[in-house]
Amino acid sequence: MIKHLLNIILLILFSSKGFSQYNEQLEIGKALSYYYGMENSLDCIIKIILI
Amino acid sequence: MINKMNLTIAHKSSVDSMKKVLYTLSKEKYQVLESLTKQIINCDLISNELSKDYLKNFTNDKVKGNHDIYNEFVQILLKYNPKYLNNNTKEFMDDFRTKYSTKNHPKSKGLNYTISFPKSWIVKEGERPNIIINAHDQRNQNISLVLMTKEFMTKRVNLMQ
Repeated sequence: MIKHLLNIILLILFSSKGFSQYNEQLEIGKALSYYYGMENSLDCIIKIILI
Repeated sequence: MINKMNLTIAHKSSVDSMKKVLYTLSKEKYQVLESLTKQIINCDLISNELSKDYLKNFTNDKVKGNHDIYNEFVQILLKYNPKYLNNNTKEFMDDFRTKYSTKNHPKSKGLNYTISFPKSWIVKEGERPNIIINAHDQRNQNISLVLMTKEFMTKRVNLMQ
């Protein structure tokens, strides 16, 4: 019984750690895409203006 | 040119810091993840009119995040900026602020006031009847702000009677 309970607790702990890591990756991915998107768009606009 | 300079000054250090975090989180998939975030835009699709539209309020809306659509992304960038890691005041002084007004809010009980706090703070509507908002620092969960209105005067009058 105690062994099962321990397994469940460990499973919850590991899955929550994995979930928070995934969340952080997702968050960083969103912000990086936003930044690079703006940077690339500005580069294009600068090219258009120069041409 | 000025817009690109503003963007670099405001968020380049956040990008470097985020890359480091991403690398520590997944060393094996780092290259794939980073290349996915670097969007390749076809410059031929951008016309003069589109670029004029894009540059309208660029710094205020897209770099400072003073637009509802872009606010979420700017909040993440600010969260990872090493300059503001333990320095909410610096973030506030660099004009990254969220302005909140209680005007016409059903819980404000007619009291109208405006408050500003650092942009990276997450704002949530209060769940309790007297709590208007609950804002907290993403980097330090111990720092938070609660806006609460309660009719103290009514209670005082009752006590005097």
